[in-house]
Amino acid sequence: MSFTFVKLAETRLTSNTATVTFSGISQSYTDLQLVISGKLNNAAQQTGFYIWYNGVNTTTYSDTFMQGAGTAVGSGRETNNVAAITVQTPSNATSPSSIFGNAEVYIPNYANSSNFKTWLASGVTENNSNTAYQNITAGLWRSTAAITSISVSSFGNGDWLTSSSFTLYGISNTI
Amino acid sequence: MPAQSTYDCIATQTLGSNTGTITFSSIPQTYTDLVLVAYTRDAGTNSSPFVSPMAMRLNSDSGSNYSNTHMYGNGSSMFSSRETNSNFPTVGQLVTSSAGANIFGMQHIHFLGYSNTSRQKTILTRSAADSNGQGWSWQSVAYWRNTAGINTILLSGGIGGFATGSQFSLYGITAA
Repeated sequence: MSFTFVKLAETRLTSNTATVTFSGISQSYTDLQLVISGKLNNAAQQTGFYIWYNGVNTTTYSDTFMQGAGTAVGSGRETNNVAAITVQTPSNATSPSSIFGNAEVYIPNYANSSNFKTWLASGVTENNSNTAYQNITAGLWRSTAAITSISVSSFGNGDWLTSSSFTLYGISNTI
Repeated sequence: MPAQSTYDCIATQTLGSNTGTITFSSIPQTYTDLVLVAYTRDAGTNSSPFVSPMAMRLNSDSGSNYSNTHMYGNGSSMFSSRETNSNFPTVGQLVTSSAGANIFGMQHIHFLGYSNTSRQKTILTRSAADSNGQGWSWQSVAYWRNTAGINTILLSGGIGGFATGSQFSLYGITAA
């Protein structure tokens, strides 16, 4: 019996970690979904985290995002970057220790070797005191390579804190 | 079809040629929610921005029975807009062929309580289209003023229709 929505891998941090990577990703599914409950070790109120694929950090990534911060809204873009910004996460500078942010990255047709890779990321943070964000981001990796690994980090703006969790799911459209 | 589980793929379509509209029909009413994941490109061309609207109809209803509220960002500004009494509501944005080769976007459409015949229908869409210098991130809620269970979903592809290689997968989610 085949299953449609399958957990492929999970990482729960027991120590602060700069980069979390899922490698050796099965090519047997249609789409991938990465779900994160995370927090970064950073002096800022919020820190965005980046995503990149197959260990590739060439200027082949871009993104378009929108965000609301409780008092203002905005939209921005990055082009020709070495990784793509996804969404904001809380940092331990201003958030109580028990507050983590949530993020979800949906990657359709990740195993396709004909087209560039696109994805949708959404994320929320909230702490009842300081600036908090909700984001939706469109990402693009200008590579036709099938995705075999996924890496997420703040790219030098702090480690993922202990207890952050990362779960990778495969979604199959086989009936 | 095997016994129903929590998350099932009901149907999928991958386009072998440019197609103006795609339809999922005879949708079983045995799930709680539906999720439609679309991997899309508009076969047409346009001037900046390189995006075009994707529209939807349910159960072949072409009456002015739809409304929606959007919020979206284009990389420099953020917007919000609304359609009321629409007969073909916009539920996302497609990357057009003007963006360049090999670029597709995606839409994630959640039909909440689609089979519930006591309530009018709410549909949540998130849409992503980036082409390294242009694009939109998009979220909208659509409202269909009808209590009928959704048994047919039609999506219409912007300027030139959905391009070859566009893929649409319909999933059913069971709450119990």
